[in-house]
This record gives sequence, C-alpha cells and structure tokens, in this order.
Amino acid sequence: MAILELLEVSKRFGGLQAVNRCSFAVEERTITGLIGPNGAGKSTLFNLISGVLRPDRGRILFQGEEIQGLKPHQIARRGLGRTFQLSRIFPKLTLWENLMVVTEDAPRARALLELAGLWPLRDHYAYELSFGQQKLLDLIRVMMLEPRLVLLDEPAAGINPTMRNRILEVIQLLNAQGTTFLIIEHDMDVIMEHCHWVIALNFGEVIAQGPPEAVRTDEEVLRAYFGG
Amino acid sequence: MAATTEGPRNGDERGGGHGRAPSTSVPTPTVAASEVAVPRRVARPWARALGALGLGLVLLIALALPRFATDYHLAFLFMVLFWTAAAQSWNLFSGFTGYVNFGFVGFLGLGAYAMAVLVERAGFHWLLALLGAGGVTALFAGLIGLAVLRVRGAYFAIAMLGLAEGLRVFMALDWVEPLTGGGVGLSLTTGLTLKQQYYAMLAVVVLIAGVTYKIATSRFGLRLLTIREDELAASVMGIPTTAYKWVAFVVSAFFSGLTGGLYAAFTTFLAPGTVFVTAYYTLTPIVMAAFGGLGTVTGPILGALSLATLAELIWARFLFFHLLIFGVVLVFIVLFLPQGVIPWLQERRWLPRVRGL
Amino acid sequence: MMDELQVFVEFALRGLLIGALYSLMALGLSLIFGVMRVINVAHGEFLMIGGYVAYFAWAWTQLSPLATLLISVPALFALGVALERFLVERVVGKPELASLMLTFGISITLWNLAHALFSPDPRSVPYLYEPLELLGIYISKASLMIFAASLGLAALLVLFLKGTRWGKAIRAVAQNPEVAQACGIDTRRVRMLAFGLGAGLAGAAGTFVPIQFSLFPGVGHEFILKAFAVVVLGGLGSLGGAFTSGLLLGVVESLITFYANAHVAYLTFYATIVGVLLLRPAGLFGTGLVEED
Repeated sequence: MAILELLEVSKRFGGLQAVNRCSFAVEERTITGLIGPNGAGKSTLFNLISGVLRPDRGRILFQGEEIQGLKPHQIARRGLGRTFQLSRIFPKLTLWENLMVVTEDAPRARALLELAGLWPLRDHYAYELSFGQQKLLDLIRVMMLEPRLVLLDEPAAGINPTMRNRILEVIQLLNAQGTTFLIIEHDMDVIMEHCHWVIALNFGEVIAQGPPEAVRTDEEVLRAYFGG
Repeated sequence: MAATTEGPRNGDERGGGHGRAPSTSVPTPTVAASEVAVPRRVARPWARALGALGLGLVLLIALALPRFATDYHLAFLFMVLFWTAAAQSWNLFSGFTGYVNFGFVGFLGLGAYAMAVLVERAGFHWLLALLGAGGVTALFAGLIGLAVLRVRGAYFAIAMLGLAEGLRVFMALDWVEPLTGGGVGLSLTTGLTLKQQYYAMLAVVVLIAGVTYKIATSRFGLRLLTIREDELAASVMGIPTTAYKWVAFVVSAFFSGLTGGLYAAFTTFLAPGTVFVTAYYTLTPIVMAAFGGLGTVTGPILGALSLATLAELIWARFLFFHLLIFGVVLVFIVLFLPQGVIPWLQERRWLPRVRGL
Repeated sequence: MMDELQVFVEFALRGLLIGALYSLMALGLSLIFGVMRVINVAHGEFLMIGGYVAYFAWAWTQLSPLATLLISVPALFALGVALERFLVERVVGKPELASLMLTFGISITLWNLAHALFSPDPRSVPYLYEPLELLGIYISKASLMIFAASLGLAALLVLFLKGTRWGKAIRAVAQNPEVAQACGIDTRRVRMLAFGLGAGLAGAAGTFVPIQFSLFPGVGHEFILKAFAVVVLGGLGSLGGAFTSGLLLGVVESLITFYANAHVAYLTFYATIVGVLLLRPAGLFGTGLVEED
C-alpha cells in the first residue's frame, strides 16, 4: 500500500520549471531512493512534500489524505518527518533538548540516543558534536516525531565511512521496525545495497522507476547522468 | 563552529565501536519512564538553594534601599529598575526567538500613553490604569503580531521600527488630540510617591523575572529557542512557530506596557517627541539584554544593573556622549561577546548549564 | 477644474523628483542586502555623513553643489569598504540578530559622533532657487538637477553591474554565494565592493539633502524609515523594485502631503510597510525572499 502519493505535482521558480507534473508513490515500509543529477528537482520535491514550499498544481497524498497546502508543522505532526541536506540541528541546545523540543517522551529519546551511540553526550551542546554526529542527531531527532514516513536528504554524504555505515545501519534498523524512508542519495552503491525501490528524476520529471538493478541500467537514467 | 571541548570529538570512534545491531527497539521502549535518568538542565538542589539565597539577599537589599536613599538616589534607583524591566521585556520575546523588536519604544510609549489617558481622561485608579496599560499594549501587539510575525526576521525588524515611528506620529495627530494632547503632550498625576513608584517598579521586575524563569525552564521556552536557532527546522519538527512567537510577543508587550505605564507615572509628562525616542528607549534595553545574555533569566537584569550604573556616571554629563558609548558598546558586544556574559560563562562551564539562569 | 488638474500634476511631479532620492537610498540598501543578506540599519547615517562631506566640500571650495558628488561618493565608498572590512564582514552568514544589532550600533555611534563634531544646527546649501515654469506648473530647478543626477547614477550602477567583471561578480554572489565562490570569485572582496557601493549611493543621496531639505545629525533616521518602506514595497534585494517604488512612494507622499498633511503622509510609509507585509510578504516587485533549502 502506498503511504505517499504524488499526483501531477508541479512547481515553477520564475523561468525555471523545477518540478514538472511529477507523479509517483512510495510504498509502506520500504526504503525508496530518489536519484537524479544536480538540479533535477529532488530537494524542491522534498520541500513540496514537507510543506516548506507550496506546489503550483497537483496533489500530494499522505496516508490517503491530501497534505498540499498544509503548514510544515502540521505535516510533521501527521507523522511525516524530514531532514535537510545540511543538518539543521539546534546548535546551542543540548542533545537531550534537541530531542525534547519535538516531544517530551523521555524513554523514546533515551532509546534513540543509545541507538545512535550518543547517549554519553546527551548533556553537550549540539554544536560541540562532530559533523557526522550532527547528522546522526538530525536523524534520531526526526524519529522523535514517531513518523510513519521520513524524507532524508543525503543522510550519509560527506562523512567518514565508519560514521556513514553507522547511519545507514540505524536507517535499516528503523526501517525494520516499521518506518518508511524516502532517501535522496548520490552514492549508487548505497542505493543498490539499501533501497527496495528507486525513482529517478531529471529536469523535474520522473524518468524511470523500479527496483534498483533495473533503474541502474535504464538507458534514460544513464543518459541523464552521463549525457549523450 | 568552535571546538571548545575535547570529549565529544572522540564520539565518532565510540559510536563506531558500539557493536552492530543495537538491541533497543525504538518505537516500543522497554524502559519505564520513571527509570530513565534524564538530564533536565535544572540545577542541583544545593545550587538552587544557593541561587535562592542570593536572590533573596538581592531582593532584601532592593526592598531596604529606599530607607537610605535621598530623592535623587531614589529616582536613579527607579530608573535602574525601569531599564531592568525594559530589558527583561525585550528579552522575553527577542532574546528567546531571535526576532529583533526594533519597535520596542512603541510598546513602552503605548503603555505610557495608555496609563496617562486612563488616569487623566478616564479617572482610573493608578493600579487599574497600569493593568490597562499592559492590556492595551498586549492587545496592540496581538493585533499587529498577526501581520508582522508571519514574515522573516529582517522584514520583522523593519516593520517594528516603522510601527514605533508610526505610533509617534499618530499620537501627535490632530484627531487624537483630545485624548493624547497631540504634539503638545499631556501630564498626569497618579498621587504616587517616589517611594511607591519604586516599589511598584520593583514588583514588576520581580514579576517579569518570575515569568521569564517559568518560560525558560519550560518546553514552551525551549521551543522559543529553537525559533532563534533555526525556525525552518523547528517547523518541520512539528512546532507551530508562528503561534509560539505570537504568545511570546503578546506577553512581552504586556510587560512592556506595565513598564511604560509606571514610567509615565514617574515622569508625569508625556509628549510624542520625548517618549518615542527610538535611539534611546529601544537601543538601551537591547544593549543591556545582549550584554547580559539573550534568552536568559538573569542576563537582562545583570546587563541593566551594570550598564545603567555605568550610564548614570556618564549620563550626568552629556546625553549624546552617553548614547555614543552605548552604540560603541553594542558594536563590541556583537563582535566580541555575541552570546552575552551569562552564556559565555556557561560555555566555559564556570556557571552550570541550566536554563533557569 | 483645469487648476485642480494642474495642482495634482505639479505635486505628483514634485513627489517624483524627490522620490529619486529615496530610490537612490533604497538601491544601496537593496544591493547590500542582496549580496550580504544584511539589513544595513546605519544606511541613514551614511546618507547624513555624505551630506556633511558634500556640505563642507561646498563650503570650503565653493564647488558647484552637484560637483561635490565627486567628493562625497568616493568618501562614502571608502567609509563603506572600511566598515565592511573591519566590522560587518564578521557577522556575514550569522543570524540576522547579529547584523541588525551591529549596524544599529554603528548607526547610533555615527549619529552621535556627528552630533558631537558638527553640532545639531541644521545646514543647507543654496542652489538653483528659482523655479522653472512649464505649462503653468512650477518645479524647482534644483529638484530637476537632482532627479537627473539620480537617474544618471542609477544608470551607471546598472551599467556597472551588467557590463563589468566586478559587476557580474556582484550579481553572481547575490544569486548564489557558494556557486560564485566555487567559480573562483573572491566573495569577500565582492562584499566589500557591494557595501562600498551601497554606502556611496547613500552618500550621493546625502549630497542632495542640504540642497533639497536641511542637514542635521539626526536626518538619517527619517530617511532610513522611508527607505525601508521603499525596499519592503520593492522587495528586498530587488534593484528594479527599489528604484520604481522609491519614485512611487515619493509621488504618493507628495500628494498626501498636499491633500491631507505631512503627518498623514509620513504615516503612509508605515502603512505601506505593514500593508505590504500583510498582503504580499515578498514585496510588490521582487520575487523577494524564497525560503532557501
């Protein structure tokens, strides 16, 4: 069953058609990858789904209900969480407070901090964390929403391999426990290894979708990435 | 992003070596809420006792001071309390949310005018008029907040600056003259002695401090801080930021109204040109709050006490020189002490990292 | 009937001419904001200092008041570059709170410094007093000259931004600082340049203040509020918007001053700010501030 459905969603910035009649569905309990070259409209799509931007036209259904036009906080409260490409943790709050602002569920916060291996650092200010730790914090913070679906914008980009594996592990585990993920990712190996389904975007349009193996060899996807 | 502590940097390795599949199942925690040892950033009992003791002592001194003060000194002490209340009120909204209220003088001025009009034109008892001053200012903030709080920080600052200026011009208009005395101004007599004014202002300061403490230690205050830190992130974390800002804005305005109202009782004469002086009544509370620490409970008090005393020493000589110094001080604070004294001490762990401080 | 129309046109025209001064100031504000994301609260003081530089240049050398532009603009450019280099640069990229408070501090400091140095006495420069008559409409020659000079400066700015390497760099940084930096643009120097240019434009506007109005240390306050109204209407960061709405608000102000009074006209600026924020938070002309990722 689809937890998220986009129907003919479009968004225009001045002269640029950032997202063009985009339609796709994300199946419940999957890790779905969203790929595409730079400027393909991936981040814009995330902004549209999470309510940061409003689509010009089209409908977005989350658990069967229309959410386009809702405010970001309303969408979050319905159980649709997101992270940003650059972690947007609250730097001058402690780790513990970073989780508590979302909801005051102490057992859950502790479980998540332990899961991420950040429990010993709970009393530190978030800006005192390393870059990779900040990404982890960002990930577990969004889990405080008890989300059904989480949009992750390059959760494992730009950090050392150990930390990256740790983040991917946490994602796998959370997915196994029932959370659906839609992930923007550039690393094809990550996509191949972790995703159940892949959607490829170019110029704001869906150019291919299917199981990772099929999308990787799709001619149109290859053209989008390598030109020609 | 300064690397101030060594500890957490090692966390990468620690995290990596933690073993593979963590056993804790997240959505259904196995630990009961009562068993979880949670850091709440609330001071330890002995620290709280110490704090309460210090607070009591300060309050005792504040209560006793008028016994020993001449009228001149009492007037000075009143002004110190006035600046304290002003810095606290400004901080209550701007310090927590990071939305710079550049129209603060508008709130103070509105409160002052409401007080004067209620006492002089409507014949209210001063206490009732004072509450009215707070109420009118809060109402005004509630209404304009619906518009100005929807936009981002930069536009907000401009809008507030404009609103304060607009209020100044408005008070001088011909068709509100029967109420406000227009450009000529109006005087008021509350019948309060200087000593009574002092104690009333002290009560307001204590009240604001109490409310700020309540807010700072609550989840409401924590969420206000997330607006300052990163409003967009706060909103995608499910926090209705505009509603939160609005509440803080109105509470701040209410206290500004009280502060301005008592100021009116103190000066006994109001005119648009002397009340709505942005450079003075907006600048001073900002400098004081920023110096002590934005979004803290004691910061604005500390800032007001120290800077008002400093200003008194200079002020006696020359108004513009005093403002000049404050301008320079503000520049220095932003560049060299952007977080203010209290958070600066907390970052170095010379003060406990509790939020009620 | 004819008279009424004539009066209307005369006041609209006067407003248009004065509006050019607002435009000039708003252009600088908008340019600085576009490149640095900094609202320069000290912009009114730049105007004031530009006015004093021009005033003293005129008083000491007896140059034509318009020629003092050649002194005031470079002087303010230098002041802007220096302030950017040593103060404002440190808060670029930090939360708005920091830059707003910093430039507020600079504004108060400059104002009171001027107060101490130049005394609060108002000063003015007599220039082209006699009005010009055209079809029964009277317009001051000085206003016309100021208007022409303002248009010329705005045109120069556009030529600079479109035609030169540094101008293109400014536009690139305004659009996307990261990409610009990746393309090898020295964004730090671009910010210095932009802040200097903005200050220079304020200095140019200030040059006209003692000619058209009167000059005193607090004059910046009134102008900064008007300029803020202009940039809000035009959309922060939009140069075309800043210029057009400067002229527009000049006309509106002049007409309201005539049909009601100066107080009400002054209130119009604040009504504009609040009204625009209510109806169209991004400003009338610009695409304004889209939430970035």
